[in-house]
Amino acid sequence: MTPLFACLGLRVGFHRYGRGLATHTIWPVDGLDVSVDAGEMVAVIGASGAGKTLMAHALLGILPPNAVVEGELLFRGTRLTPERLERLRGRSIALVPQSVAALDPLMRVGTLVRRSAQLAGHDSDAAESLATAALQRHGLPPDVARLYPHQLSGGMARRVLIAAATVGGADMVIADEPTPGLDVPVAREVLGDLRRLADEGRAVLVITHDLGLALPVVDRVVVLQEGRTVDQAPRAAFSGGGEALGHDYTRALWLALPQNGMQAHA
Amino acid sequence: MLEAIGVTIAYPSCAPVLAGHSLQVQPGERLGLSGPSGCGKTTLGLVLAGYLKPQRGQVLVDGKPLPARGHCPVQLVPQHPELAVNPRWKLRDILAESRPEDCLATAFGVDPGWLDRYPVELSGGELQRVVLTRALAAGTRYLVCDEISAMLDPLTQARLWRALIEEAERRRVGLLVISHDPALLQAVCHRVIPFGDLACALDAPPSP
Repeated sequence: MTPLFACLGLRVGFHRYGRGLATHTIWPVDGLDVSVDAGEMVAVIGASGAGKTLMAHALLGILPPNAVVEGELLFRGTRLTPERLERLRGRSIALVPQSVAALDPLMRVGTLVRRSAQLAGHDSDAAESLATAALQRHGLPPDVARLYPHQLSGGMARRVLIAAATVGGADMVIADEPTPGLDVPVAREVLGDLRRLADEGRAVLVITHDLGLALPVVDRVVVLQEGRTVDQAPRAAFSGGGEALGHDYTRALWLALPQNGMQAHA
Repeated sequence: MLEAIGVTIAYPSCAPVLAGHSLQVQPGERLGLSGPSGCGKTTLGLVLAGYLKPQRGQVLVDGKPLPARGHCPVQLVPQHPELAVNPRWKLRDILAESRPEDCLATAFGVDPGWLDRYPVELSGGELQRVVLTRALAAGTRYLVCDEISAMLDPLTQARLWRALIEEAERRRVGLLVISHDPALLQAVCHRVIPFGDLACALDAPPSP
């Protein structure tokens, strides 16, 4: 049984100029394996600089031009070529971006979500009703559609981003750091929204450094270190002193949580 | 002792953010401050470190107001270290602003190799170590830590706090720790007060 999405041995490199015209390539992502199935929510965690965001951008094919990507990306069991990725992006695979600055400051929320639906291939009548439904599904009252992004709170802005990303009916959602800047109750609601997408049968990949916040809602955790996948563990393994965790780094992350004694070893 | 007495601040045409709030931090104490976003925690931090002048009330260190010039004994470490440094300065110059002791940089794991780099060439956790080192120069008696580890993974966060607590205990620096994370406040602070429970007195004396 192949999962909905798999990425095997992903490498992302950047060409750098040295002296004169000599170039060399650095590989910030070097050996990354992640998979996620329909109905599943997977957290990708790691320190800053571990390659989390580069991974997301590689999965969507939105890296800068001097980047090179190697490795195998599979969607529904078939290889994702750059051409196929371009067709699927925004339709079957959606990104909830890291920064709320991704909202167009001059566009009302309703227009923005409707436009996302149109860009995903729906005609304007369908887009209108889809947009209304998407806002409602994420707990945003109808009058929010008339607001501009600067009139939204941090939590509402995140929900608008999620609504816009999923309005086209994507099968797979990648959320890049959806919680920083939110207080704990609001962050939990946003993660709960993402969990609901998984329960509806989509595949959800959430990129985060906040293990404590993400754990209660995800099925599995993929741990990155310096651009590589070093461990994968089911949620249940994160308990007690981390005896069920196979990798030292994963256990160190677990024991470093404030609620687990905040140990700074490893 | 660091004291805020009856501090009142209102941004133009808004209800006051701080309405006669008072708070005390003892030397060597780690006091946690929690509360929902937008309640005024950061504004209080800005007032304590002298960045904002209260419209009423005052801030005292050992009974004396904050000095108008020179190294302020109350230093603020903000949530986003990249906004607290000049992006066009190398880290050597950024650190030199407060001339911290060399051993302090070592204690916070500041790699001498970073000094010739620009802020964008460091990760958030690395830059936050530099900013903390700069804030803990010799004249600093109190530190306001405003969500200083919210952007860090658990392990980097634990290491940063371990170094900070050790240094603060050695020099009896008092910390006001502002955070959304109740588990973090429990783990690092001696006591935690919700923002809503701060002593409020609307009839505080006007600032001199």
